[in-house]
Amino acid sequence: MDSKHAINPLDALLQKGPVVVNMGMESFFHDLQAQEVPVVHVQWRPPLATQGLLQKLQKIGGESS
Amino acid sequence: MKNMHIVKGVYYDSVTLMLVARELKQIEDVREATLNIATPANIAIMRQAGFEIPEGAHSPDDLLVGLDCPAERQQELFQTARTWLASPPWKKESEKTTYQPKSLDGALSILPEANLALVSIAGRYAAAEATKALERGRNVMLYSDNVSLEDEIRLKQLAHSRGLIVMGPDCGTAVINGKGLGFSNACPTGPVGIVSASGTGLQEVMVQLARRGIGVKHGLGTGGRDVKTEVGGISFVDGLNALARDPDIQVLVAIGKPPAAEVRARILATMEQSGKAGVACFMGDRNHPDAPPVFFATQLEECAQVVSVLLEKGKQVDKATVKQARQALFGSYPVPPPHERKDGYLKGLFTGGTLCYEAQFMAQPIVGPVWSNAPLHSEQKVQGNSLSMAGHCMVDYGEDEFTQGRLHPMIDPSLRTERLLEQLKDPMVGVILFDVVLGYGSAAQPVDELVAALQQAGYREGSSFPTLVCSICGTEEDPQVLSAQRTKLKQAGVKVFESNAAAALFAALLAQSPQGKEEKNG
Repeated sequence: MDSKHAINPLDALLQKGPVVVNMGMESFFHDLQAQEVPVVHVQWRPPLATQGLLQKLQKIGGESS
Repeated sequence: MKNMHIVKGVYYDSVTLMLVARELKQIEDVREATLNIATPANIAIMRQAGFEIPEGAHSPDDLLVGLDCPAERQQELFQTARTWLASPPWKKESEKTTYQPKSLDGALSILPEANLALVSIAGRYAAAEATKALERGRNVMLYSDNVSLEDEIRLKQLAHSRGLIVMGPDCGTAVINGKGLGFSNACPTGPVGIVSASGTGLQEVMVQLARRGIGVKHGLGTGGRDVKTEVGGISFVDGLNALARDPDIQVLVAIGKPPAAEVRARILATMEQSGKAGVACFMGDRNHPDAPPVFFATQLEECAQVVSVLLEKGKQVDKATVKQARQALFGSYPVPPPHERKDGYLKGLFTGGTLCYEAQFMAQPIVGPVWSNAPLHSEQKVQGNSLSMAGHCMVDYGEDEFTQGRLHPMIDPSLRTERLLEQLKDPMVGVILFDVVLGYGSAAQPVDELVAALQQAGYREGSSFPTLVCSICGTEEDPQVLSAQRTKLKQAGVKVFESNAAAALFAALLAQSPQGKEEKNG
């Protein structure tokens, strides 16, 4: 096998440095940008199954104050 | 008027909630504004603050908006909060219009060379996203806590089988090729490689190394549970092996609370076989004499001190030289003069879990038993509000009980500040010890709120108030700038140290038995 392809992905991470998909706190995304780390931020939302259930609950409960 | 508004079925990250609350508090008429996910812990804290929250009908997918303002402005300000949540005013227009993918796959189509997913979403969703990342061949840093032990084991076994690593869950800090992820300090890059089961432990060692002019190339986190029997140190050992293969690394460092015996044996065997010098810092663990090429440290600054000797003297360093370096460090720690000693209990309030643990380890031999929500020994465990009990206590505000649906105290130290000010008024308290952790990820202004409150309370050094002792973990290059924070705290009358171990030792030596006060009060 070509040794280039034999390198495991953890070693590749340490050799190349981090290239990041950030999912969650946007402040971490900005901190990585400030360090010039290649990064994409995911506008993550809870999965659809939960959202569907929530929409049903919303219809029943509505917004209260 | 305090009123609670409930928004059902929405999701915002905790930083956004904190920033909107902060903006609302700037508005005239707003005495208090607090936005929280409806977890049981947050509901309890908001009720304690005087907001009425009806029983039931809430789930952690709901948002609670508490406003203390005139009744006629409640609805208007609630709508303002919702507008700002939808479109934060502090965001630049360019940020609002930049496309952001909605899923991991969307992100990978934009950045296919990505080699790491940094996951900090709510714990109940985190394992599923981490699994997806591993299945797509990406390493994972799992900042999220509240992930089950079963999920952790499954994720780590999957990662191991594919030559990947899962750092976490509850992994706050990592450094890869000198780039910090999560909570991390601006430190130089150099010949040291670290694997740590403790986030603030990694930060403190990196900062102490930086003070000695030494840099770290990689600092891999594992999350605290990795070194328990059930997980077996999977990420720890894989991380050490990867660092051992890196020719730039001269010294390997292992950091954590004491691991399970069999995990400790695996870690030490890996270090011994690495062909590199090593330092194992399992805090408080005095069971191991040095066994070159692996040396031992019982606290974090000592760990940095031993690393500096190994780098200076090379692999052939003898045990006596290392012993001398340790003694020189311990001999350099300041001791308070007798007239400064305070009659009363020692109370510690920490944002860094390992700093809390280390402080207990340093203080307990001097003051006796220290109670904590994260204690050295399980028989000294008490619940979160242990500060109110009679006795020496230290609380870790980063424990799960304080962070479910709420920001880590290193990002939002307001709850810790509130509790610290309560302790300041307690006549049974002699010394208050706390930490300030700087760096990426941490609060931009970590001490301003506290300093303003101390001024308002009329606090000054040498008065009848408890003595305030603080350690700062940070560097001059950190976004908050070490010297700027140190100056603010010193001007407020706080005794400031740049080593957590030194601060804890000093605080313990200051705290006298409160017997006299008990007699006076009782």
